[in-house]
Amino acid sequence: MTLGGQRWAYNLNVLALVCMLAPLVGALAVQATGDLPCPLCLLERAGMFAVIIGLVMNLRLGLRPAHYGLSMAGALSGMAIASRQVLLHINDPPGGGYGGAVLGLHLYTWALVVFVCFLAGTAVLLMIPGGLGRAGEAPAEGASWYAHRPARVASYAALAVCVVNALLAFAECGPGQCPDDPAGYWIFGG
Amino acid sequence: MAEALRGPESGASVSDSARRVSPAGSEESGGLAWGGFGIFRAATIQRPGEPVLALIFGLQVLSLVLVLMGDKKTAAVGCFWSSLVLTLFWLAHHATDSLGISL
Repeated sequence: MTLGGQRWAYNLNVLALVCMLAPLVGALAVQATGDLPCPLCLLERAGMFAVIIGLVMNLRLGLRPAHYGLSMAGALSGMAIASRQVLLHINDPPGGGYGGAVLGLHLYTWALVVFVCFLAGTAVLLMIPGGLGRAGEAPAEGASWYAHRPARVASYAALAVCVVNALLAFAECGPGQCPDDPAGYWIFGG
Repeated sequence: MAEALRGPESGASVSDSARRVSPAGSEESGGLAWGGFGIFRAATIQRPGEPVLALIFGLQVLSLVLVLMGDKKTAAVGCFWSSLVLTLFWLAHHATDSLGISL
């Protein structure tokens, strides 16, 4: 029962990681079309990466309550940032919000949805019987880093996306403050 | 006073006993302390009122690399908290800026 619970929780962590990577890859695709992210949009990405760090800790170092806690702290910070941007939009309806819409919702609204869904999913994950490992205890079969190729692929993909995002953020904002409505990349003199 | 600080084993002080026991969560608390230092360093690198987004993402990349290395959890947690606090500092800066307050 305990071992099955750990396998379930491990697989769901991989799924959560993939689900958290999807909007980030989508945001990078939108950025590639020339729609530059605003500072708050970049902070929402930072919240998503904070969630991802906790998930990768679960996959690499074992399923621990502290790792879930780190992810939840990241999700709460991301939720605060996305909520602020949604409220800014509500406060300025004629402005039409920042950037384009995807399936009728702006990216920051999607970010808020993602963070709320993650917190709800984590509540379920923490309730899986035997879903947490103990320090010093060997992980269950099929729930360990070396035995789970999808976990390794997803984790290294997360690192790649994080590196690309960091480079693009530096290219856009440089070493100083990012403009509220960026018109071009700092590195190209924009 | 010296006797009061002695542990259950003869000749062993409380601190000696504590060192042998590695309580659960020690890496997280160590990471938090490490993160505190990181936040201090990051805050001194940043110019006032100009939080650097690239620094936040750089710390996150470093944290992920340290996690994937497998044996650097304390440092990884430290980078995590540094980046998260800087993120919230950025948010506070953005929120107060729109109110006309320079943070």
